[in-house]
Amino acid sequence: MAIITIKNLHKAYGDKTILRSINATVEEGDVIALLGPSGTGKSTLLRGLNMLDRPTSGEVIFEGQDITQASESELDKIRQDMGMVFQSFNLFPNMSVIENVKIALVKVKGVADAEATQTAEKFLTKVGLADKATAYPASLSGGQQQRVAIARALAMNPKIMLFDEPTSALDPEMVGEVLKTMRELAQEGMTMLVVTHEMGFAREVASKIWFMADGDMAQYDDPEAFFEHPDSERAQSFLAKML
Amino acid sequence: MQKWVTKIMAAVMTMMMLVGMVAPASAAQTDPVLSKIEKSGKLVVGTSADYAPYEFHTTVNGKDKIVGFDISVANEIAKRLGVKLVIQEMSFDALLGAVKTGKVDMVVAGMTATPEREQEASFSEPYFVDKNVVMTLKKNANKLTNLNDLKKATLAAQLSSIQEDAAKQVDAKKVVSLKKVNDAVTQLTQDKVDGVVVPDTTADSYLGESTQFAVAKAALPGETNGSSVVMAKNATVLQSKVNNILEKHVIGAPLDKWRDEAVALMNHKESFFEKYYPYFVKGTINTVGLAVIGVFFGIVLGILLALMKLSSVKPLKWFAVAYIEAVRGVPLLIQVFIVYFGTQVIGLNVSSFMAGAIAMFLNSAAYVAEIIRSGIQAVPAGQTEAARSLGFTKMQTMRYMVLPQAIKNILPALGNEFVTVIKEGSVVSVIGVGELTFQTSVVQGASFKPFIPLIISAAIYFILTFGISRLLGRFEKKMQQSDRKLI
Repeated sequence: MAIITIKNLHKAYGDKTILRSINATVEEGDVIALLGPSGTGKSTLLRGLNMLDRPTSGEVIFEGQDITQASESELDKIRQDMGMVFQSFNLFPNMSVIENVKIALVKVKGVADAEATQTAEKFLTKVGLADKATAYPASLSGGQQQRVAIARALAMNPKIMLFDEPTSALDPEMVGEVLKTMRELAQEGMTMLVVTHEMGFAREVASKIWFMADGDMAQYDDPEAFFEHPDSERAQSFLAKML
Repeated sequence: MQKWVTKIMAAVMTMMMLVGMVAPASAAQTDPVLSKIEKSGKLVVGTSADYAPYEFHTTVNGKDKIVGFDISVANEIAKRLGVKLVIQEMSFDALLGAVKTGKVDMVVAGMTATPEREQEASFSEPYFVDKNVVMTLKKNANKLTNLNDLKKATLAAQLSSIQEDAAKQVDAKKVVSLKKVNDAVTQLTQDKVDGVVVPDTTADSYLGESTQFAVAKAALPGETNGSSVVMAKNATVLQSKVNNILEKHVIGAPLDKWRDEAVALMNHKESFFEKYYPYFVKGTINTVGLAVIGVFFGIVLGILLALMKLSSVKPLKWFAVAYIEAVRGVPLLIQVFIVYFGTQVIGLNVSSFMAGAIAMFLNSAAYVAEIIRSGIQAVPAGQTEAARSLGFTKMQTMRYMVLPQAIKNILPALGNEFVTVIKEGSVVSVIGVGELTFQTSVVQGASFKPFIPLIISAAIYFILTFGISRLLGRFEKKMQQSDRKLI
């Protein structure tokens, strides 16, 4: 079943076209690695899916609704179902780890405090950081912060998780722990769309590859096909640089 | 055309005649000011209590009081009108404005009628006549022996006073106009001016207090000046009543007695500190109180203005921008006067402390708004994105994520604003708010020591501002440490 259908999505900043005309579908349970050279619009596409960055034209159909036409208050509801993890973690520095995870539950979903605390603890345990509940983000390593950010998004019980280069800002020794968490998530059947430069992760974990270059996108339903026999010159030269 | 002009003129003249016929009949009974006094049971008298022995502060049984023979006159008028006397203090140059706008019912402040002043307000018969003299330092007394010497001298006088006019009339080399007589005397003791033009009653007081002063031999030309009670133009009935009271119950023996009493009170010796420390304490409390009120409400309004300025709703944005620019572009002193007299014009009767506090926070809000705006803009965009991606609304994001971080970032700047407000609060002394600067001039006036009170209040201001800066510095360090401890 399709969770998200993207139709003729176009995005331009002034004269500069970022997304030409993207068409794609995310099926339930898909783990999609969104690959491509820097500056080709991968993040723009991702942020266009939850309207953090509204597309110029085209449709994003989420659960049967074209959300490019949704009002701000409708979007506030829709975004609860689309978890997002950022390159720079974006934890709230004025709140402890557990507060970071539970605040949206309490203030957005209206969950009772005790229940929210329980949920938050569950997800912190899941990402292996139950012992850091009372710490503040500034005292955590980058890898730990990113895992808290993943727990924060998961706590809202989203239907899809969007990852925007989740490991790009991390020191090399921290990358593994975050990828491990994401791998576990994929194994549990979470629908995921991951912008990444981690080729190993894409090859092993992803069920599909989306390859973007210059605002266009090619879809590969079999990752092996992309890595072994890339059919475009751009994909070939990209892989040659990355592998 | 000429026809209807004639018609209009005829109509106007008829109207005037009608009014002329009706007005005296009703005016004989009462007038707006008198009926207000009778209705409230209070006579509000404005004065500038830094002018011994006319009116000045003193400590009676440990309590601060405004005394002087002008106050006795005001008391007598209130008694004869059958109402309670309320004294409202402000600087001398604010008095005429206050009586005109109805802030006070009358002014009893040793004020002399001049043609300019009589355009603004009505004056009673003079109840006390005093001549102007040039007070100088004893060592310079021989240098000012005739009118020619005065022409070559630099003279000081109180701003907007009759003495200022006198100094200008002798064509002195330079006339220095100051808000307070104390300030003029200070300039004299510092050799900044050669003489100060004062009524001889005042000169006598200074001479009695210190041997360094003398009255110059050179006499000022022109007549003596009489002190009158000043009322609003429309207070016609009140004016005749006051004249009557002055004539029957003030001028002559009663006034002589009050004057002697005032001089006795003035020369009542006590140690400086014992006598005047309550003024400094009271002034400090009021100064800090004003600053706290000013900054607290300034922050509340400042947040609102900052959000409006950052808003995408154009009219809100324009309003905030206009407000901030206007307030930052106009001196605080002017704003204080606008609030003080403006509230009266629109029919609100607020105390001078309230008016001062309102002016302070309206002013502070503009500066705080800019501080908060910069604080909000310094919060990384990622914070907003993260919050919005979790489903927080714009308002919630502002409330739970952006503002708490912004305020933490701008605490040092807000602390500086608090220090600034403490210092700038001195401006509201002009409308008679009893804060530190005001109390300082009260002590100057009452003690005839122009300089020492200044040093004391400077020290208090410094302790306040430096203390707060240090406290904030510590607080900031502590916050940094707690951040570091976690890393």
